[in-house]
Parts: sequence; structure tokens; C-alpha cells
Amino acid sequence: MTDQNPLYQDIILEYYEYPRNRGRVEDADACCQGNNPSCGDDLTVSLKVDQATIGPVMWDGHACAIGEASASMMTEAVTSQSADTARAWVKTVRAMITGRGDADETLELGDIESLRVVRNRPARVKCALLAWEAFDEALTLAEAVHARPRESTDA
Amino acid sequence: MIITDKTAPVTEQHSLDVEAIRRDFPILATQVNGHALVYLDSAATSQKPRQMIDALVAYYSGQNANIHRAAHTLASRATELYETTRQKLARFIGAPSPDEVIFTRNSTESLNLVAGSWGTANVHAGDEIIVTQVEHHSNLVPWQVLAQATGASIRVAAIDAHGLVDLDAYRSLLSPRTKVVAITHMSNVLGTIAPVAEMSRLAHEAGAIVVVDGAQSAPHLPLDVLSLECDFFALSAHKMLGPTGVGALWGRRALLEAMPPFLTGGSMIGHVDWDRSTWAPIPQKFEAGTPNIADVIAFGASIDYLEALGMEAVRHHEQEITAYAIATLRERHPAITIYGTDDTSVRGGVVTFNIRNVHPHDISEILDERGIAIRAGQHCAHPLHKILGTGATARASFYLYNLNREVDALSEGLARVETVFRRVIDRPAR
Repeated sequence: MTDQNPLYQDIILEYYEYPRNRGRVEDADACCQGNNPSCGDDLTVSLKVDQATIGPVMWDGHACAIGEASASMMTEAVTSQSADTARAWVKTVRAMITGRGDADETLELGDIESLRVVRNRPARVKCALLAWEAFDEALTLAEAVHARPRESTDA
Repeated sequence: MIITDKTAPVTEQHSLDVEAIRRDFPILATQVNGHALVYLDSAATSQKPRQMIDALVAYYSGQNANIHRAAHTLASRATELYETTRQKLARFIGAPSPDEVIFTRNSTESLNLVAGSWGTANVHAGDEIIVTQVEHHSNLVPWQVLAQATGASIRVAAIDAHGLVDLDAYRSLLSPRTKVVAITHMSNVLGTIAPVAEMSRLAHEAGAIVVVDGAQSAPHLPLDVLSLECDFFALSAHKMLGPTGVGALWGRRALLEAMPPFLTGGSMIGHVDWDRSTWAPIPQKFEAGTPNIADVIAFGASIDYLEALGMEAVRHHEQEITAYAIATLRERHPAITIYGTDDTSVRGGVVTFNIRNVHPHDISEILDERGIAIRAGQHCAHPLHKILGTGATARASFYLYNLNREVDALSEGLARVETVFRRVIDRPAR
């Protein structure tokens, strides 16, 4: 396409057409919702943390092409990573999209690089970050569940 | 006839000179993203004629003074101008007296005034408040808060498959427990017009009062609050060619006089002692503090503008462009879903739609690149979107300055959306 829309690059449309890891993780350790009341985006991220490794991570719900593509990319980036690496991913994507905070230069952005286009579109920043923020929250919750003494989880 | 008893039959003489009207709206000549602006978001806020803008500038340049207090010339002139808008608005909506028209910040504040003042004094535990499924949050949330504070409950009158209030379902909800019926006159999502007069008669038989959210109807329909038989009617100036920051509430004199004040302080008092005060007569009782004088005065110019065109002509124009939009979009865009009835006799100039598997935000984004402004989202009507079975919708809304060629521009923009999203549109609905 010669007049390809800068926002709707093929890579984003491909992720929108073929979502990755869409659904709910059964018996998830944590589940967090991200929503955007003004435009109706509503995503839920669910995950498990097994010892030091994250996974599986899934997302469900509806959002715009940017929001859904970003959610799929998020699940691919953080699955099988340590909590520290996953947090570095969240920070890096946040920095890339908002221009604020520090990015981890050692991470290979790959397809995620395509989300950089929302940087100059304030209305889309929240869409692109929705799943990442929900994941960040879910990870914190899951860690809290695992940190709890066994007696209290059984109670 | 559902709209009002004042609706005149539509004739040739009711056509608007839209090209001439457009020259009165400076913003319509601006460029957005390198394209001529196509403004299809008047249900969110209307654009403004230079007559209103000039009145605002004239007030601050030559008339500015506080009202209802000082004896100097400027103050009395400002007071007179402010009260003139009240008279104009009373006439515009068919209110029997300007005293029954209260200026607020917007429709939302007007509805909060009724819920907070009349509601707190009259609604008790076990009472019921009926709302319809098309309510904007502004005519739902204040009633929820009142219900929670008093122990009353909310009942919801269903709409039918065309988005029109199901009168049988509504009738079955009415009972001696019903204290308030809160109705959106024209839905900001579906454009559907509620049969307010009939609903009011039934509500009154049950002993309830009727509160109408007219934010979407006042700008677009010939209005007569007495023919609507309601008890309160709320509107916002900014949706009817006026400035932001001004709304109004009309209420029946006996109700307003019996109600406690909503906000208290300066201007709304009779006598003030250390431990008690008396209230000013209506409307001052409900206008505490210095009001939005400049914008109320400028709003007078907006009412003049609408009256000069004639609301029958405005309504007729919008019915025509709405019918054209529905027909055009449906014919050229097979993947489109348009919500609400096709019958423009009970529908205003709002066309809410979805394109299969494409999120409304993406539709809006691609249209914006071509200078076309529509709204995407839930339009402050989250519960209604659950009923429609969709997370969000795209909405094009029309006003007296829109032309069929702007509908064509919308259609061309949607063709571009279809090109970008071709592959997902061709898949089964998600």
C-alpha cells in the first residue's frame, strides 16, 4: 500500500486480525481490568506466576486496533519472563509511548516498535498502554498472593 | 403526534438556506488536517454563530457589570440584558412565565437541582423512580444518588427493538410508589424521541412528577413544555448555538415555590440574620452567587438566531439529512449496523453506527484524518450500550448547518475505513 496509514501499519492490523493469547487463564493468580470509559475500551488481563517465571498471560475484552494489537504484543513479551524483566518491559513500552521515564535499552523491541506511532497522538496513548498497565497491576497482585503465608491462603 | 402539539405540517416554505447559514459560523471555514472541517458532532456541542460570539464580545467590551445589586447604569443595563434572555428562553420553550426559568451551568446541574431539592424533600424509603433505558448518565446518576440516600429504588422502562420507549412496559412499572419519572426527550445515542406527553399523563395519574432531560431536544425540536405536560425540563445552551457554561431548568411555579433551595448564599436570600435566613422568590431562590452573566446574555443571541430560522424549519432540515444519511450509509456500506428506528418522525439528527469488527475509535481516527469530526465511545450512556450489545459505537450528529455533501464525505471516509480494515470486516462478527 503506497498511502499506508502511519497508525494502521500492517503489523498492527495483522495483530488485530489474529489476536495472540486471547481469553482467560484458568485458575489465574490475578486478573486485572483496564478500561477507558470515554471510548469504551475494556480489557482484562489474567495471569499465573509459577515460581520465578510468568505465564501463561492472556487478555480478553474489546478495544480499538491499537489497544488489541498492543495487548497481544504484551502477552508475547512477558510470557516466560522473570518479574523483573516483565517490569522492565512495561517501563520500556511506557517510556517509548509517553516519552517519560527510562527505557531498558537491552530489550529487543521487535514488533512492539510499531506502537511508537501513538506517541504524538494523545488520544491513543491510553489505548496502547491499557493492557500493559493492567498487566503491571495483575503482576503485583499475583506476587502478593504468592508472598502470603500458606496458612492464610488456606484459611 | 409525538413531538409537541405545536409541530406545524412540513411544507416547502420550511426549507433552510444552509449555505447562507454556514457563513454565520466562522469555524466551518477552518481546515482540519488539511481538509475542510466536516463537523458531525453537534450532539456533543453545537458550533456557534458569529451573532452569539459578537454578543459575548459586546458584553465584555461595553456592558460588563454585576447584576441584581448596584444602582449604577451599567449594572441595570446588564441586569436587563440578563433578564431579557430569561424572557426569550421562556418564550422559546413555551413556559408560562420567565420566573419559572432558572439559569444553571448545564442540563446536568439542572437535573441535579431537581433531584437534590425536590427529590430530597419528597422522595422517601420505598418510593420508586422510573428512568428509561436510553437515559444519559446526567438523568440517571443524580437519581441513583437520591435513591441511595433515601432508600428509594430505580426502575428502568425498556425500549423496543427500534429504540423507542415500550409504553406497555412503562405502564406496568407505574404504581402508587412511583414518585418521579425521569425521561430523556431525545436520546443522544439513538436519536429516538420519547412520547413525553403520553408518558406524563400516565405518570400524573399515578401521582408522580415528570422530569425531562431536554439537552438533545431543545436544540432540534419545536418545544412547548405545557404540551409535553411535564413538570421539569432541563436544557444546555452550548448544544443550541449558545456558549458553554449555561444551562436552564424550567419547572412548574407551584413546585419551584415549594422546593427548598439547592445552592445557598448571595443573591438567593430575602432576609439574613445570624442564625436563619429567608429565601428570595423564584427564580432568584435557585440562582445563588454571581451567575454566568456574559454567557447568559450571549445565549439570548443564539435563541434569536434559532427563532429567526424557525424551529419547524430546523426540524424539517434535520429529518431530511437524517433520512439521507441512513439511506446512504446503509446502501454504500454493507458491513454497517445503524442503531434505532428509521422513522424520522420519531428520530432526531443522530446516526449511531458500527462497522463489523472495527472499533469506533479506529473509525473516528481515520475520519479525523480527513477533517471529519464524529464521536466514538459510549456517549455517557454505558447501561444503554450493554442493551445494544456493543462496547462502543460511532456517532454522527447533524444540525442546521450540515449539508448532504457532508454525509457524502462521511461515506467516503468510511470507504477508507473499509479499505484499511478490509480483512477483518470480511471475517465473521467477533
